[in-house]
Amino acid sequence: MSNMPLLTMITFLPAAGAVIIMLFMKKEQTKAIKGFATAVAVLDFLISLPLWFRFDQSEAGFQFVEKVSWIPTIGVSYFVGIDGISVLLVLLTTLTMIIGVVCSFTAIEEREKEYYVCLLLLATGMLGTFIALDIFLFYVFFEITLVPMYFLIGVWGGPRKLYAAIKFFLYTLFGSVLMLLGILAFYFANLKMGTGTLTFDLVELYGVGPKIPLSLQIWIFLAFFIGFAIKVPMFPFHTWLPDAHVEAPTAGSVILAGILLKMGTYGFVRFALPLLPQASHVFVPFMMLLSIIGIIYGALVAMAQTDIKKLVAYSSVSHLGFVMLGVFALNEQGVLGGQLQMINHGISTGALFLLVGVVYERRHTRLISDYGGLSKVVPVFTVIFAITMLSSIGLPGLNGFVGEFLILIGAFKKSYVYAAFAVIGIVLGAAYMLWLFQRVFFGTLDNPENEKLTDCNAREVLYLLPLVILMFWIGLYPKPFLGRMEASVKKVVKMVNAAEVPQKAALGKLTKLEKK
Amino acid sequence: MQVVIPDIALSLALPEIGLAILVCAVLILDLFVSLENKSRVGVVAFVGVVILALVAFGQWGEGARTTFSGFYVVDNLSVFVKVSVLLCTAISILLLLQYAKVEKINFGELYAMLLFSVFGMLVMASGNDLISIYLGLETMSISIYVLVAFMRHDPLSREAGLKYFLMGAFASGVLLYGMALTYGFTGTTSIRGIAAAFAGSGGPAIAQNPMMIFGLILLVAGFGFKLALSPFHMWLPDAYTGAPTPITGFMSVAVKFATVAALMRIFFVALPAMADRWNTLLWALTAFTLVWGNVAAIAQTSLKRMLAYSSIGHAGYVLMGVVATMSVVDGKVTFTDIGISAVAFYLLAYLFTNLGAFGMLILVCRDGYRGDNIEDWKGIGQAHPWAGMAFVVFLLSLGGIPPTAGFVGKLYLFAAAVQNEYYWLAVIGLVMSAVSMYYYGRIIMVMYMENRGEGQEVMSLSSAPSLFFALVVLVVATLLLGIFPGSFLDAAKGTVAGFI
Amino acid sequence: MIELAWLIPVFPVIGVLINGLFGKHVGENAGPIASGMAGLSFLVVLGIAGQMIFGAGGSHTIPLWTWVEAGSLSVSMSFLIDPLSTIMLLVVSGVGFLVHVYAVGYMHGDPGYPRFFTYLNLFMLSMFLLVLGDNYLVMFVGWEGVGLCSYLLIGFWYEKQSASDAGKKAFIVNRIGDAGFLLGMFLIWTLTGSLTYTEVFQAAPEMSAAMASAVGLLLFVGAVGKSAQIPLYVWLPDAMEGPTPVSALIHAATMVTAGVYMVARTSPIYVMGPDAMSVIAVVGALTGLFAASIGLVQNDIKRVLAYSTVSQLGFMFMALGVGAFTAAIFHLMTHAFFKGLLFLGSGSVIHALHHAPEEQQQDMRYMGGLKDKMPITYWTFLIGAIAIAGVPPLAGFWSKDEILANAFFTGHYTVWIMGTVAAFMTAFYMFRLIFMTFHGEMRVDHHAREHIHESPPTMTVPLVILAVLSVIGGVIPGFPPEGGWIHRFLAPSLAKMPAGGHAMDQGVHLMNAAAGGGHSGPAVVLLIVLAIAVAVGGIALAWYMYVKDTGAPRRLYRSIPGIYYLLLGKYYVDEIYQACIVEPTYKLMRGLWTFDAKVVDGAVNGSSLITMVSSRFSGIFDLRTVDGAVNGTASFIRFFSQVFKYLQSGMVQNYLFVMLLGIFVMLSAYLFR
Repeated sequence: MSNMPLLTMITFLPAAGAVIIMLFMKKEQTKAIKGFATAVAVLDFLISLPLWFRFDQSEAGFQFVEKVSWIPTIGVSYFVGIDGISVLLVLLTTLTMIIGVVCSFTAIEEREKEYYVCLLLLATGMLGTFIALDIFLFYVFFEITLVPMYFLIGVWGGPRKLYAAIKFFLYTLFGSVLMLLGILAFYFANLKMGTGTLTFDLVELYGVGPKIPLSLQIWIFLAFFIGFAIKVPMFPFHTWLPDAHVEAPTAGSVILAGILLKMGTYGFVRFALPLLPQASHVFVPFMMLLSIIGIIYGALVAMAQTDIKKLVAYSSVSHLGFVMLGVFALNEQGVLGGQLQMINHGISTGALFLLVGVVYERRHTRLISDYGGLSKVVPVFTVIFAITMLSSIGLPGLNGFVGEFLILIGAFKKSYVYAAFAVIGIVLGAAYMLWLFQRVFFGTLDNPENEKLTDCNAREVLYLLPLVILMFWIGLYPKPFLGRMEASVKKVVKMVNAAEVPQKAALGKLTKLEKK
Repeated sequence: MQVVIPDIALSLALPEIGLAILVCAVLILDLFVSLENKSRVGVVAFVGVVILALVAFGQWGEGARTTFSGFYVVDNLSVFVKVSVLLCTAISILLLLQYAKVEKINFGELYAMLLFSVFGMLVMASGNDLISIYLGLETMSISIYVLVAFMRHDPLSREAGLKYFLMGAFASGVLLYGMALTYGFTGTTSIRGIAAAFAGSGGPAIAQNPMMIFGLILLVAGFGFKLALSPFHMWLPDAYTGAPTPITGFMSVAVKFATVAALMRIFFVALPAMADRWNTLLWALTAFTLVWGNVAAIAQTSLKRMLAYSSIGHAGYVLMGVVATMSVVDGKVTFTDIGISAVAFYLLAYLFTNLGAFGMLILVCRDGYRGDNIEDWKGIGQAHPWAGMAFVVFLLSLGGIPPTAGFVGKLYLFAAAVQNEYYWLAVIGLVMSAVSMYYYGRIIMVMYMENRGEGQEVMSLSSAPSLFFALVVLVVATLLLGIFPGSFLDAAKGTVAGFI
Repeated sequence: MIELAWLIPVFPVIGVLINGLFGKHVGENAGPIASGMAGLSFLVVLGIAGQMIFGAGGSHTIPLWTWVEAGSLSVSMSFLIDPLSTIMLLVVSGVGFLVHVYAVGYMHGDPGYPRFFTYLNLFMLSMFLLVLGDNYLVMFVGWEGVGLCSYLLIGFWYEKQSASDAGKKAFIVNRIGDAGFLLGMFLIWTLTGSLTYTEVFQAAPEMSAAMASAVGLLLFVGAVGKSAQIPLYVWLPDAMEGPTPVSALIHAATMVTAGVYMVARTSPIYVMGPDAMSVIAVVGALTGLFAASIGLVQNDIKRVLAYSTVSQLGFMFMALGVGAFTAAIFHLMTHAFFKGLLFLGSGSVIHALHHAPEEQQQDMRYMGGLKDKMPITYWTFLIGAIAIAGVPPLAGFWSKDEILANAFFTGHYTVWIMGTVAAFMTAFYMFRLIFMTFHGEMRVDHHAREHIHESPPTMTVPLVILAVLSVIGGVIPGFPPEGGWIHRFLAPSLAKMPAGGHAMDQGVHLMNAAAGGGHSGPAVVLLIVLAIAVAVGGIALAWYMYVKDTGAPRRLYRSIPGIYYLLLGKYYVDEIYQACIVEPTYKLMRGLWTFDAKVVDGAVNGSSLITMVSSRFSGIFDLRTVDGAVNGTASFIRFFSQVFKYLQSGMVQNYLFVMLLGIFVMLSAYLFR
């Protein structure tokens, strides 16, 4: 059992399922396809559970490692493994996939076969991204996810799906190709100044960073930054997100918010920080500034929205600003908080999109003004929405708070100025969410269309419930989550701080660079 | 005057000799085959080309050997190019078999002309002298002028052929003038001889001579035309659009192979002394080509024309590898392996991908209907899922999205650029590859995301087995090069052996 | 018994789960269930309090589980039982239990009955966590939790726009305070490396005055929000949109005093930061006076009480600011009794009038003469009013007197004067309320008159109990002033002002002298006499204006209309906030949204547009060089096309032209540079 290539199985099971659907199932057999896709997702989740139970918390390095030479000519290997930074993301992905499949049963009514194929292929891409320990492999998976998502938005999306799909695809592709440039630059820098071998092996490359001159590090960091910041998305690279979210089908939005965006923040933690420690330090003020702008700006723009999904999308911009704030605090609290907040955002924003999907399926409108007074007709829905909303605005006792608290305390430790600005986001977060809640659920039920609304059915409650449970669990007892991440986060923080450069020297070099 | 009978190792020219015999055989066979059965001629040509490819492959890895008094060289690069060109030819014949029937151009000469051009390409690949290179080039070009204009009933095709011919002739002249100037300064047409002349004591003076520089510029311009680098690309959209589709696919790939091989031989081996000049020129051409080709492709509504512009862009990528081969360390010019092997691999990836893309166009061709308009492709993804997926694979490969051949190819090219610190060229290339996904993505969009209006029927597909077989091979190869590129990369790396 | 402290919040959790999940099935049983749970908690509290008061006392930590652990940061979910939390628990669970019982009757027949009690239990849970936590983070959990419940309960009748608006306002204003609290917490952690009270306070003496003040002020921002002080008090009057039991429990007796508790809890840090203390004293005094002045002219019975609450909270902060932590907690306790009583009494009145038109139910101008119809309500209300006015020996006198005396003796004379004036106003507006509501002729709507009746026992019994507490709740723990039982009991929990180094040194000295002289120090006696005089004076003035000469108020308004309207309009603070903060925020948000759509996204779309246009252009360029002559757009090209017509099309020379152009450019670049 212990020798089984567990991660490979988890990653490629969905793809195998997709191939089976493609080859052996007729498109008319929608029930069978749904059932099979669900079975694949559930099975994938089940086989990913050992990652939770057999994960060694005290180990900071990689576990469940598999390594096979792949393209020896250029030093690429199929190298996968997980550590505290990725384990929860993998689990969140497998869980989200079940939800993504189940929530689509009635929402998707045409071309179902292709839909589930895309969904399952997407799962493979995302899982691969999180487990890859070879930068080349990472990049391959990172790019592959674009394609199924492009289809999900473009084929099953809303009225402006074509625009949203191509915008999503090109914008993120634009970022990732520049990131590729950074990867290659690092690859050759390693050849010249590091280990002297051609390798994309992350474990070997860790530690090479400090040997690279700062001027080059800065350029590589910028390349990474463009790639990851667009994915996150950080202000001002965020405008693809609202369009993609609004037009994507529910499952697409859930996966986009829950997992895909995390690929950006994860990228920063996994690659940018440990590989480019000095540059990371140089960029702290810049990153903090963008994060804070993102937090406040995202919240304010969210407030101005009239479309629920767009509001939630902009709230993501704000929340991911928090994540980045934590990550670039470059201390344990901040990074740990950022890590936890990635999971939290996946849970609560995912749930919000699911909830929007639930009413959208019934009413076919997402305009806030079309609703009002819903709490009277759909009490269960209201309660779940309320809990999710509170989790999203970081009410203590729910998951969002723990993450935000750690992020803020980490940011405060870095500089009180950052935290002082970031807390404005907390106030605004409450403002736009409560206002949304008020407009949708409170007031009188004056739209006759809404009177016919039916409450959540058993299936809907079933796929929302795990998320609600997680909200309370992480909120009240986050130790199993934080504990699993802590050792690895400490390692990253140590790596990035081991090579700290005095700011003045760094800036001096920067100006020199500009003069060149 | 003593006449020296040179030592001629005919076995080194075995593929070319074989090809010459094959052409004759095809011409003769053509006389005995009735008009309905001309496909048999094609089949013979196909079989012959496959065999020749194997023969050529047999020459791999035996080091650089020259023959015909140094006119001719067989090294790994030339073998690589020859095998690839023959492979490309074989697949193109498969594509032609169906297309020629539909377009009613199924004549034996078609295959003969094709093989003639291939002959020229093989000569170019092995040419070790300005004369032999030029001979090969002209043989190739003239045959292709004919092929482009082969659909005599179609004014577009005729026009394309004529344009191509006029422009080609002019360009050949330019190239020849460049060669002549080079000869004038160095006193030799031999590639090695030119290099020796530059390396000699008078070399630096020649390199500084304005007329030599003029000659170099003419060489660059001539090759620029043949490769359709902007701003010398004007002929290409028309020629590509007018030519029979399989021929378009063929020339987009095979001509690039042969021309790039010749270009590399002249610039890397003969003219390294002027590397800083031609490199800068090529840098500018590359950047301009990348931008122009990819940007202009966006606005096209004809699929064929779009692919024509896209092939301009790809020529830019190929050239990027050529440029990136040169590395300047402490003011000393050296050539690194990675650029050449990147070019080789990229061309190989492009072979499968681009032929595949044109193959898709042939798949929908019916009598009088070319499926050229993008709008025609609406709903294909739903009606013909496998065909749709194949096209998606080709398009992703063209755009450089993993896990396809195009991705590894581009990665390798950019790696070359980054290693030798052509960062801005890499940035342009990368950004343009993102831009290119706009128009490739639009085809996917049309196929999958836009539905046919009421009463519009989705195109039906050809069911020709040859076409089907070719496309399957191409899809598999495209994915194989993307997922397990190892041995192909090794081969690409091997092309450098004995070359520089 | 103390080890069982974890049970205290468990009962409300059970109540929440039962009523929350099975509300539909529970129906009207929700009230008794929730009350029972609150009662059980109260019993446990009583047990603990007994042990604390009659037993050894001291402070006890009950660890539950490690909550957040990240590197050097470790916070556990632990409870702390010490004298301060004991007093708070008694107040919270006692008044809470009574309000639960009261609400069983008050909320009878409401469609949201189970929901109401779910929220109420949830509130108890949060409040317990706030009080019980042994560190700032757990306190913050409760802190936010009560804020949430306040939001939910204010907006309980969510179909009413004003109610849901008020709820939202409360939450958001509170959040502003919370942001300060959070920052304060971060600063504490950065300075001391811990958030646990005992560890923080151990390190507190090492803090510099500036840092201590910074911590103090940040935390105070939180307190300002929660306890409705200037400038964040605006949510509390609006909170009266909630059901009256909620107003009594949350917006008078318990939640709003959380800020007072928090500052008192943090006293070891505050005593290190005199600047923060001064700010608190001034803000408290200002709020006390300011809110009391608004209370003078309001006509809505609950709003008068709301402003009174704000004002009384101001008194408490006044006490905290001058270092009289015990007095603050003492006033917190007595205030919980009499203000709870007053709110429940007003609820009883409103309940009786619920057949009147809605806008008249709470308007005192439509009341009057109710004392005969509802005697229990009247008499208990009267006791509450006397208590708050500060007439001995009722509860309010003892605590308020201590506050004013402390302010005086510590040298905060301005604060003392403001407090005294506020006390006068308090007495006046309370009795204005009594006279307008219960005395004089009945002005109630005719249809509603026959429905007026005394409230049911579930409502009156809590009134009576609270009335009793309002009578004895001050004298028993607080006699003699400055030396009562409560001082001895709370001493271990609260820091003392350091003897030296303060500006108020002399005052402390004076006070000590006075305290040494016990009850009979001349200054103390003088102050007490003054306090009583102020209270009685206020009552008398109210009697004169609203019983003796009912035309007097009108004449007064007429003579000073400006002041009157300023007070009636609550100094227009809400309007100012609306104009200066809310509207600009809206404008900013819309502006940013436009900015986002037009500029940020515009840049993205713009770049794609540019690409598109240049694509079209380059396509056209290519075509023109091809077909330009044929299309004949340019005459010179047409000319050439004529000349070279025999070439079938005129494009080739254009090609060549471009090509030669390219060569020319290269040549010029290389040869003639």
